Amino acid sequence: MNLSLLEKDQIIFKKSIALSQDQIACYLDAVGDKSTLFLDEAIVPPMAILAQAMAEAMAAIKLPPGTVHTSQDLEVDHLASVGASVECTCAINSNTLRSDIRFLVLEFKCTSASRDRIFVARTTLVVTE
Amino acid sequence: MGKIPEKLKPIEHVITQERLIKYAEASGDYNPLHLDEEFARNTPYGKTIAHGMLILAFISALMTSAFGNTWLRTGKLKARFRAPVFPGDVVKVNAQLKSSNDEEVVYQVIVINQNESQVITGDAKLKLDSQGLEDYV
Repeated sequence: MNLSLLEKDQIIFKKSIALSQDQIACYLDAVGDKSTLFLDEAIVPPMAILAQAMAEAMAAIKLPPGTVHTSQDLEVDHLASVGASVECTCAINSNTLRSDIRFLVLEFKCTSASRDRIFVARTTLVVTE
Repeated sequence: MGKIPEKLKPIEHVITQERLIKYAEASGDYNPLHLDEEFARNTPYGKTIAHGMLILAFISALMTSAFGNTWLRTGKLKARFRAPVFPGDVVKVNAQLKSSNDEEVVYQVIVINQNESQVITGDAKLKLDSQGLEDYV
C-alpha cells in the first residue's frame, strides 16, 4: 500500500475481535502478568485487544517491517468479557512526512455489542521511506 | 478508601528472544524487526528489538497488581517509547505518585533498562469513584 495516500479519518479496518480464555492465558503468559483477576473474573486485558487490533492494522496497511512504535495512549472505559465479540475500528488520525520519515498516527476505537466504549487508543508509528 | 501509595513496588522482567516469539504468537505481531535476527541485523538497531506493546504491558501489569479493577475499568496510559529494548536486557518498571485529588490519581511511570537508561516514560491515570481505591492491594 502507498502510505502517502492514507488520509485523515480514513478507516483502515473495522472488525470484531473475540478473545478466548486460552488466548488470554497465552497473552498473560507472554507479558508475564501474574494477576489472576482476568481469568477468575473472565475479563479481557484491554491491552490484549489493542495488541490484536494493532496487528490487524499493520497487516491491513502493509506497514514495512522496520516500522517502529514511538508512542501509545490508551483510555479504558469498560471491560470486555472473555469470548465476547467487540467491534474494533482503526482510522488514520494523521499522516505526515518529514525528511523521508513518515509519522503515522492511528486511532483505535473499541466498543461492546451494547455500544459501550471499551477503549480508545492512539498509536504513533514511524516509517522510514 | 486505602491510602494512595507514593511509590509502587517496582517489577523487573528479563527480555529474551523466546519471550518475543511468545508475544508475537499471543498478539499476532510478527514484524521481523522483533523476530528475524538476519533482517534486524540490517536495520539501524543491528539486532532484534522487543515489541513496544510488550514493554507497555509490564506497566499495565504493575498498575493492575496495585489497583486491580479500578485500573482496569478507568485506566488511562500515555506513554512514549524512548529507546529500544533488546533480548538480554533486564527492564524495571517504576511508578511514582505524580498528583492526586478527589477524582483521580496520576502516576509517573518509567521503565529503565539495566544501564538505567529510560526506555519508556509516561503517565498512568486512574479515576476514583464510589469504590475509591478499595481494590488497592
